[in-house]
Amino acid sequence: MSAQNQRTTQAPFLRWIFWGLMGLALGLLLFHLSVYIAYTVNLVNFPFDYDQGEGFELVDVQLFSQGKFPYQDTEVYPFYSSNYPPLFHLIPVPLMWLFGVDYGYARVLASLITALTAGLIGYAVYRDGGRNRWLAVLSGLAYLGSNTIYHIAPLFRQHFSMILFEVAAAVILAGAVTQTRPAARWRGIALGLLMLLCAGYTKQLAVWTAVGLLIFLLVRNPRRAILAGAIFALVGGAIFAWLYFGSNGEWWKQAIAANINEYIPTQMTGLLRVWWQLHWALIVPAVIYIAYEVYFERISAYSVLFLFSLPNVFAAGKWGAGDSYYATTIAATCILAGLCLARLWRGDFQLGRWLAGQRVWHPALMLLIPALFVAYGVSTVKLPTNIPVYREIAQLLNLTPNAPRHLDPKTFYDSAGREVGGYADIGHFTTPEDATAGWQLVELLRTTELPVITEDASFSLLAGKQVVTNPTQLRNLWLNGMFEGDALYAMVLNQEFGFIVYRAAFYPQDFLNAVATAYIVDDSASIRMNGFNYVVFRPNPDYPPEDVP
Amino acid sequence: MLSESYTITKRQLGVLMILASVGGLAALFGLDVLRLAQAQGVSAVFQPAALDYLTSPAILGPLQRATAMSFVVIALVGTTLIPLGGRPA
Repeated sequence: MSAQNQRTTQAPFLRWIFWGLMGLALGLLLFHLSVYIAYTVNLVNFPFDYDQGEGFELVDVQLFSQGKFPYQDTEVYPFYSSNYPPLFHLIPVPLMWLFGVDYGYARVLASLITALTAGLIGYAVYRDGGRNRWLAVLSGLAYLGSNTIYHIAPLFRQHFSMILFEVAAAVILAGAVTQTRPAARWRGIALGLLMLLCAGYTKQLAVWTAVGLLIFLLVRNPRRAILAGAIFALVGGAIFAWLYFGSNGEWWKQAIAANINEYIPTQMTGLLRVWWQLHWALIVPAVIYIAYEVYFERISAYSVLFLFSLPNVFAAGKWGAGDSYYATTIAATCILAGLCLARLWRGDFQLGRWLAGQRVWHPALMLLIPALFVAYGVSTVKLPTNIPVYREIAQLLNLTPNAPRHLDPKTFYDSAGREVGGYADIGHFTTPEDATAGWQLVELLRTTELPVITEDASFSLLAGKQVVTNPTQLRNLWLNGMFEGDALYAMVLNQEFGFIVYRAAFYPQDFLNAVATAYIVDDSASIRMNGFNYVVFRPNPDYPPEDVP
Repeated sequence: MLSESYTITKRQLGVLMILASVGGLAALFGLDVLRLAQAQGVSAVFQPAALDYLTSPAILGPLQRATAMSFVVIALVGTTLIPLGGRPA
C-alpha cells in the first residue's frame, strides 16, 4: 500500500485532528501575514525615516537618477557617500523620475520583493518536494511570519532584495543541475549566476552565498563549474572595475574598506539564542534534512544556501549588524523544513520507506507536520497592542507590550522580547503624532537659507535641502582612520549650517566636539518622533566665528 | 575530471573539506604570525616567546575562535564522509 493510500485509510478522527491542526497552523501564519500587511500599510503612510538608514538609501536612488555615483569623496562638500553596492538603488530609479522622493513607493517595492521571496520559497518546496501545495504555502508563509523578516522587510533597506536574489539563485541552480538537455542546463546555470551577481551587487554579505553556490556547481560537475565560474568572475570583476574607476576609487574605500566595525560577542550569542527560540520548530527538520542529504543523497543548493549563510550568523555580532543577518538562514530553513516534511509525507526517504512500513508512523506524521507549523506560529507571535482588533486579541491572549520604543510607551508585543543587543528595536506602528512632529521639524529646516545636517536624511529631503553627510558612514571611516574631516569641521566651526539635528549622535567624535563648540541645543525646536528625541542645534550666538583660526 | 559527466564523490568531498579546514586554520594563525612580525619585527616570529604568544587563547579574537571551531567541525564532518566512498556528493 502506498504512503498516500495508507493516510487516506486512517481513522476519521485522526483525519479530523490532522485537518484541525493544519487549519490552526494556516490560521496562525495568516494572522502573522495580516500583522505584516498592517505594518506595511502603516509604514507606507509614514513619510519619514522609520529606520535610520532608509533615507540614505533614497539619497543613493536620487543620485543614480541624476546620473551620479553615490560613492563620493567624503572630505569635500557635501561629505556624503554610500557604503552599499548599487543594484538596489538602481531598481527604483524610474519610480524616482516619476514620483520624486517618496518613502511610500519605496516601501511598497521593498514589501513586494519580500512577498516574491516567500513565493519562491513556496515554489521550491512545491517543485522539489513532490508538489505538496499545503506545505509549499505554509513554508512561504513561515518566511513572512518570522519576526526577523517582519521587522525590516517592509522598510526601504537593501538587505531583503539580496535575500530575494540569493533564494532565486538557489532555486534556479537547483533546477538547472537536474536538466538533462545541455542547452536548458546552461540557460539555468547562466540565470542562476546572474541572480548571484545581482545578490552580490545588492549587498556585500551575499559573498558567502556566491562562494557556496559555486562550490555546489563544482561538486556537481567541475568542468561546468570552472567554465561558468570563469565567466561569473569576469562579469563580476568588470562591474567591480566600472564602479572602482567610475568613482575614482571611492567605491573600494567607501563600500569595502570602511565596512569594518567593532565585534560584540554577546550580541552574536544573544542573537543566536533568539534565532533558535523563534525558529526551532523549522530548524530541527531543516538540519535533519541537511544531514540526510550529506550522508544519504546529493547535497542540494538549499543545504548549501543554509550552510554558507552561517558565516553571516557569526558576523551578526558586529556593531551595526543585527538579526537581519539571519534572513538568508531563515529563508533556507523554510525551504529545507518544507522539503523535509513534504518528503516525509510522501515517504520517499530511504529511512522514510522503512518508517512508512511501521503501523504508528503515519498517525505520528499526521500530528507532527502540522504541529511543527503550529509551534512555529506560536513561537513567532508579535502584534501591535495599540491598534484596534490587534489590541483586543492581545488582551484576549493576555499579551502585554514588551518591546521597548525608546522614550515612548511600549505598544508592541514581540515573543522574542528585547533583551538582546542587535535585535531590531522596531516593529511597532507609527502614530499621526509622529508624522506631525516630523513635519514640524521639516518646517523649521525650511526657515534657513543655509544648508543643514540631519542624522535622518528624511528631514533634509522633505525640506528640499541637499543631504549633507551620511553620519554612520563618516563614523565608520573615522574609526578606521580613513576620514580627516578638516573641511567639514571648518564649516561647523564657521557656523555654515543653519541647523544640525541629532538622533543617536552616531558621528565621528571630532564632529561632535566641533558642534559642541559652535552650536547650542534649541530645546524648543527639538522634537520626539517614533520614540526618539531629535535634538536640534542652532549656531551659538555667543560663539564668534571670526576667532576661529 | 573535466568530462561532461564527472561528479565529485562523497570521499573526495570529505578530503577537500579536511584540506580546506587545515588550510583555513593555517591561514588564520598565519595572519597572526604576520601581525606579530608587523608589530615586533620579523625576528620576533623566530623567538621562543613567539610560540607562547601564538598558542595563547588571548591571541585569537572571538570571531577568529568561532572561525577556528568551524574549521574543526568541517574537518570532522569531512572525515565522516570518507567511508562513504564513490557515491556522488
